[in-house]
Amino acid sequence: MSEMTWEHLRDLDCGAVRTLGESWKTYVDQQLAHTERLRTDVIDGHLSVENYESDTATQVRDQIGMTADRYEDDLSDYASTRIATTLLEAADAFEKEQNELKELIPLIEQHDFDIEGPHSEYDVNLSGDLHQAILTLNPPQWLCDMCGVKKPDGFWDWDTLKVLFDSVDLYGTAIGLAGQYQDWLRSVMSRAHDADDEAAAALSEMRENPTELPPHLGETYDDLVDDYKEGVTEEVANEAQAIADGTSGLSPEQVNQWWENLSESERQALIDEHPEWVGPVDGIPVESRDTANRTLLGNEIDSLADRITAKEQALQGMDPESEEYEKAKAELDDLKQDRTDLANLQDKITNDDGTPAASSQTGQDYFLLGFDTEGSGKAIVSIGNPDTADNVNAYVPGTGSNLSGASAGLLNRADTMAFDAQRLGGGDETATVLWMGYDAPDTLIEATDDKWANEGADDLESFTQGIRATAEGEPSNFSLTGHSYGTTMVGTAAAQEGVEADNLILVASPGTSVDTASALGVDEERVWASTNDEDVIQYGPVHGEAPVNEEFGGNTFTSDSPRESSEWWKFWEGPMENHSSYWDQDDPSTPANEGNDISRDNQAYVVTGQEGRVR
Amino acid sequence: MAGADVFAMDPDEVRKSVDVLFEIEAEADTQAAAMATANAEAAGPLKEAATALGPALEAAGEWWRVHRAGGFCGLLGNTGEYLAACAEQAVEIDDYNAGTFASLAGELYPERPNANASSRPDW
Repeated sequence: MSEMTWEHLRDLDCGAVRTLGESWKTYVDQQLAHTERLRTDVIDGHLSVENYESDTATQVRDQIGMTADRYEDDLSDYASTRIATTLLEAADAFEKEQNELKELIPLIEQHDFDIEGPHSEYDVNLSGDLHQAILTLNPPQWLCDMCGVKKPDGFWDWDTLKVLFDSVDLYGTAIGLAGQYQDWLRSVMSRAHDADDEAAAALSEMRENPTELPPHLGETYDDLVDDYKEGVTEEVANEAQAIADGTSGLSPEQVNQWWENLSESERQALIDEHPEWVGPVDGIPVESRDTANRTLLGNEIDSLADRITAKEQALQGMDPESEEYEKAKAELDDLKQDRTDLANLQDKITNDDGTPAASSQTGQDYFLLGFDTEGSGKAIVSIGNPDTADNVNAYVPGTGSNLSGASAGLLNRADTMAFDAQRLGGGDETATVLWMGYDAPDTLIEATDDKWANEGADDLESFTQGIRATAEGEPSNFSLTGHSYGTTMVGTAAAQEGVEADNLILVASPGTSVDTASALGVDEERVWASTNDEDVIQYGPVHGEAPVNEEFGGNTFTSDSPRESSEWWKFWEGPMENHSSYWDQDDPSTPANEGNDISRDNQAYVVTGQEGRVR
Repeated sequence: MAGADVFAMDPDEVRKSVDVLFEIEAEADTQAAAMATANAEAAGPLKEAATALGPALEAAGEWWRVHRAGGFCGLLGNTGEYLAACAEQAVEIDDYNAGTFASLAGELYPERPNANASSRPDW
């Protein structure tokens, strides 16, 4: 487990780690020359059938071939994918956070703050000198500037008195700034520790269940070689299962390398025979995941039908007044709801003839990247293919998101986002993903708890890494758009784990878990927030500083509040309604392509890389 | 080992195969050792920095050297020794074990350490 301190991270030689990773890549090429030589100089050369012919000679040639095959697999799976890629990814991750420290630590020092506490949870506090300066009515210039007071010149004049009157404000401002730096530092170290632990796990897992080596020639050879060959046929399946189970320690980038190194027939066999090891896995290309997930979806619907039938039969033998009956009835209702939800999702993304359906708004195909009926349910559906798109926008919904919405309101909203990106994208292809990959809170009370975001953070990090890993060609302009609690989900993942996104769009946010955009691990200039004037959420930022506030340090964009109360006296309806109005068409009488939907337009401009047009 | 219904051998060519196998074995062993050393050197500062990566990296380098590259080298050595024995005797060897080669190695391959062969379970 990583116990790196911020000083350790600051002083780490990331270049040395990267150089070693590159050395392993070079080493792999060097070793592949050996296996090539075995084949050309030995098997097809000195030891060819012209020079040595017998049953044993054939066996020896096979043995050398097996030895070369095994070493090539080892070089690919272990030396390249595991060791080299782990080092290169770790170097990049450490360096990214190190650069954050290079910006942050001087700020902490310049403001006379102290870093205290253990490496797992640093505090940034006012130094004794800073306390003294404020208490003696001699606050530093930067604090006077922040509070809008003139620095006293040492005499008991009006300025000094004003400082005395404002001392609470001065303290509050200083503590607030220290808190922001604390959030920033904790986030940097959280991401660095996460990267460190993941890198170590990737290397350690490698040694846990290594593949067998061919047996040595000798008396026991004939007994052992068949077992070896049989084991080889099961290796891909074993690897795939470990990856899907999350026990392999591979990052999505490493999963992608593994997948690309399989033969076409191996990949197809996994999709056909074990779709459950393909569909949910970040790092496997989207088209393969979609094919596997559609199979899984059909299987799950069939399975639910069987379970419903069995449960209905069981109910017939129970006393309708009994607790057992009530419990079984509730389970039956849940099963039926799950079946309905999944069937609706299947209908939405599938044509009548069974082929994948396209969005009616954009004509882009739907891709199913995952689903689950546990908890509130999960679904990850893309409109357009993220692997080939110029822009990718992943929409993370908030409180109340459930499987029912994945084929209805939530996916319709994603369709609207896709439409806007297509409408304003200048011909660029944008893939819009509904990422309901976490168990969202069901109620506003539940939404005051950050556990939902904490539990989903790792999965959102992995999803973003997968988008990067499977992209073809140039990396896309990648946005994460959170709405309501979805912004808490996005912020938590960004701050704690790190996300591979270019832009964060935070709509109607109750807070992101941190008080400053700097803690989110992306360029502050590419953090965008908006809350309309009527939105009720502005009264309850329960997860940290509202990102629309200037103190947060991100950008903001304008959103209208088009919805109104149904009756003049129902004053609460407008604020509630306008929490979800960000994808409304402001003026239904105006065609959507005339740019009257300011929030939607602004979001689309960010998603399509036209930030200069944001209003 | 398999039987020998048809048998034809050019011992000189087989010995050249042996040379190639031993050559690759030696080179791969040296190169793996160099990588393990590089890993250990890089792991030092990482361990001092209290990273989780440092110890894992050092272990990974040594594991690769001993078990995977080492396994590859062992297989090449074993196959080379078997072929060397076959070429020397110009016959199929049905009940080969490491001792067969070791009994010839002193004259043929004096630079190859018999300790390596004698450590095997089929010695």
